[in-house]
Amino acid sequence: MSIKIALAGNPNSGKTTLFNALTGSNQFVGNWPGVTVEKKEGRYKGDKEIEIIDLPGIYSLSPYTLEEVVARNYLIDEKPDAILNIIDGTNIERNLYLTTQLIELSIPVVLAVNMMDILEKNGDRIFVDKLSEALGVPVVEISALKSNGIEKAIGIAAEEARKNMAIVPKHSFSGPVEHAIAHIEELLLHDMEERYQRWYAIKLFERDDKIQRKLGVPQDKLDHIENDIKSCEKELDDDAESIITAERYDYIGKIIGTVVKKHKTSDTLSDKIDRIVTNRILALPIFVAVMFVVYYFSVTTVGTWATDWANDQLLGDDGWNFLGIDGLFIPGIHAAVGEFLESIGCAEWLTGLINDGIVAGVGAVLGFVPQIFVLFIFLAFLEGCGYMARVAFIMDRIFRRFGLSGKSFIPMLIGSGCGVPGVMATRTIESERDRRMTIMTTTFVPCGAKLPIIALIAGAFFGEAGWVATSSYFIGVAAIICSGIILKKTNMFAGDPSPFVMELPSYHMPTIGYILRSMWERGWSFIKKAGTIILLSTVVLWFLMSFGNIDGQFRMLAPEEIDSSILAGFGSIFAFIFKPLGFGTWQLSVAAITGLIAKENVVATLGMTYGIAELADADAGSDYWAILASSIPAIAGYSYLVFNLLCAPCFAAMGAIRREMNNTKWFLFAIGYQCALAWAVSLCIYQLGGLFTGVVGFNLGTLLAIAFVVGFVYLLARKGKAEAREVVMA
Amino acid sequence: MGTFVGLVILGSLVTLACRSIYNDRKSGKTCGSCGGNCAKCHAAKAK
Amino acid sequence: MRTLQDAQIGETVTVAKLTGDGAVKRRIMDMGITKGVEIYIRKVAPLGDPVEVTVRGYELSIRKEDAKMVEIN
Repeated sequence: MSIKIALAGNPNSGKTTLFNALTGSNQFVGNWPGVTVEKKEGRYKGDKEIEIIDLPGIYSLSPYTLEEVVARNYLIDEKPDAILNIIDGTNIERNLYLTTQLIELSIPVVLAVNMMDILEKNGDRIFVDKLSEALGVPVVEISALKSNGIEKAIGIAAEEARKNMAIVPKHSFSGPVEHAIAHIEELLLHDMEERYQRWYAIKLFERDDKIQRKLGVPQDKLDHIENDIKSCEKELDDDAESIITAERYDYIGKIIGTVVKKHKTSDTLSDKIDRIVTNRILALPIFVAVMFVVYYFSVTTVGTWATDWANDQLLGDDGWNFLGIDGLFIPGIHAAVGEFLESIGCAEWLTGLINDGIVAGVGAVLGFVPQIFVLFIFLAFLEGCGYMARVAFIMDRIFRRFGLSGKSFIPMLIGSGCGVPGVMATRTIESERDRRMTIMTTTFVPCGAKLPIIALIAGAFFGEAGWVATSSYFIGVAAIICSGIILKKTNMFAGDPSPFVMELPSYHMPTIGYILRSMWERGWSFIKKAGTIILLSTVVLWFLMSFGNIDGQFRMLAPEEIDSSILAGFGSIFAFIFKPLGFGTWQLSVAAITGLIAKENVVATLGMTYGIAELADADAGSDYWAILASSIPAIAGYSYLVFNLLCAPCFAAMGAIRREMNNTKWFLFAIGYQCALAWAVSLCIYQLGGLFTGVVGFNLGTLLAIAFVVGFVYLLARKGKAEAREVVMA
Repeated sequence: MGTFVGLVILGSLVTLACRSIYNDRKSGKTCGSCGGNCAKCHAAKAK
Repeated sequence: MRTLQDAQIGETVTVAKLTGDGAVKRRIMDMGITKGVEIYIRKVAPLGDPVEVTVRGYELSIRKEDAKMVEIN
């Protein structure tokens, strides 16, 4: 018979590691709170009858955060057969706080004390039998990382699940509180199964509105118990919630003396590292240095070197020598495929489709795989070692200036790899409004898929100058900051600044396995995208480009007739919108639109539309770059880059935005905002930049641009609604 | 003859791509670019 | 009444009472800052805010603004 066991515990307690070890699936761990937010399900490797549910990491079962509500709703509605409560042994008091609440649910609880190896190293000891006695539940020592003790833990949990005894908590509250709880049980809960009454009574005592609603307690009954609660509050001189919370910790404090023996600690290694990394003076420079190293290695050096090799030699026409050995020449894939198809007498149009469409289009994207992988390795390391939490800590002050918190910075950092996990990382932000705002702006940071676009513009228009890439990141960050400032001042987002109460977990060295797995999972999806979505896009595009209406006749077109193709017609409609931005050609318009499917498509599409003859390598003076460069002025090229950076992200990221917003109206607002901002900024860059460089004459567009700039400055500088309120009150 | 081979190549690439996308959609794994870390990917793996 | 906001780096203080209400206060308490607990002020972030404190054996970062809710001895 199948049993369900729920894994519950604090964030950073090693819950996910345990889940992986138990279920054997190839998932991995993030080291800052909020990575696992939805429940994950699996089956125990050793016994398929045991279903394991990994609940979100939570500190408590309060009604205030989404994770807690999700977790507790699962526990009280689904009623798993047992709870395996994982405890961080190095941090036991706070971890036991949740334990006391789990026990009250009257579901069998088994404690798994994790990080025993670290405890031993520090010279601390936990007396598990005393702990077990004090709490009334079985306790097992484990090391999830080393997979020690986990079979025992799950075994005992399964046993307890099958016994299905109603747990009676060993801990209790003070007299007045117990009195009130008993009263509440009697008055409101006598219809409920007895074992479950206590938890609900305690919640009602705390005035938990979600539980009130869930039980549908009539107002008069609520008023009745209100008297009990109030008199208790008066007697203990504190409010109900605080009373419960404090008494839980008091109980834990009482037992901790007998249960834990701490070695006299000097600073741990983690503390020592932090003394430097979060040092008042060194922290910011260190952060800048870290960022520089990450991007220098992934994009500028290793990345570009590897991408060039991939684009020209591996995938393009140049070919290369295997391991540098002269005799082992391997031709470039584009050249090889072309030769092969020609040699078997394949029709020219089909060769064109396969080689210049698919191979070149997909190739242009695959060329970036090396960069992407390197970037992901770095990000995986930063996430895995715990540095991200420090980053939020350091950045909080800046972000608070425009009403957000340091937690909004982490999505930006992750978004520089891929926008999808970046958007999902916003779950750590508790304030709904700030979360929404961060979701909306996270994709402004150039993601891995936008790198080809940056490279393209830099190469075609600016001689591959380095400032193009750097400015792209700056503009992305600036867009986020300015959006934050402007939006926070509107009615929709105004409100108290986001709270910032966050644990700083100890540093730890992420395992090589973790880093490689993280890098591989994300990198592989990039490759897969190329082979699937982008491949299909290039095929579809090829057809749209090769057929059209000429002189009233619908037929297949020769390469020079491309301007009469279906695609060109379609693009021309949109080109109209883009004319004031300087890139009103159908090719560029279409490319930007295909970018919605996947940002890599922009380069693939431009390659096809501008140089269907010669688009093998995305580097070194290939013809289509020249054609592109001659079709619009450089300032328009830059404005095009910015447009693609800021406008709506790819479908995958949009999907993530929609899921996280959980609300279609907000989702549409987010996308609309991004496109509008992109359009306005591009306009200003082209019109004002073009005016400045003498490329564009003064016109209506210029006026519009000036109006935008003025409006923008006004929105930035004006008093927000909240500030205005404060001024009035003073 | 050569064209036929070409069409076969094209057809297989397209079919593979479509099948891959379809399978991902079915198992709920929408993009994997989350790094396998999101609930969707976990749910898909666990199935 | 002194609050956690007034405490200096390196000081160890005891919590007297928690003022305020709502989700932030609950979060602060859930994290272990309750009446009678000892808090060690470890450091301040480079830009002056937030502060990092050691409470119940682990490191917690909390904004000075929110620290105002914690009255200390």
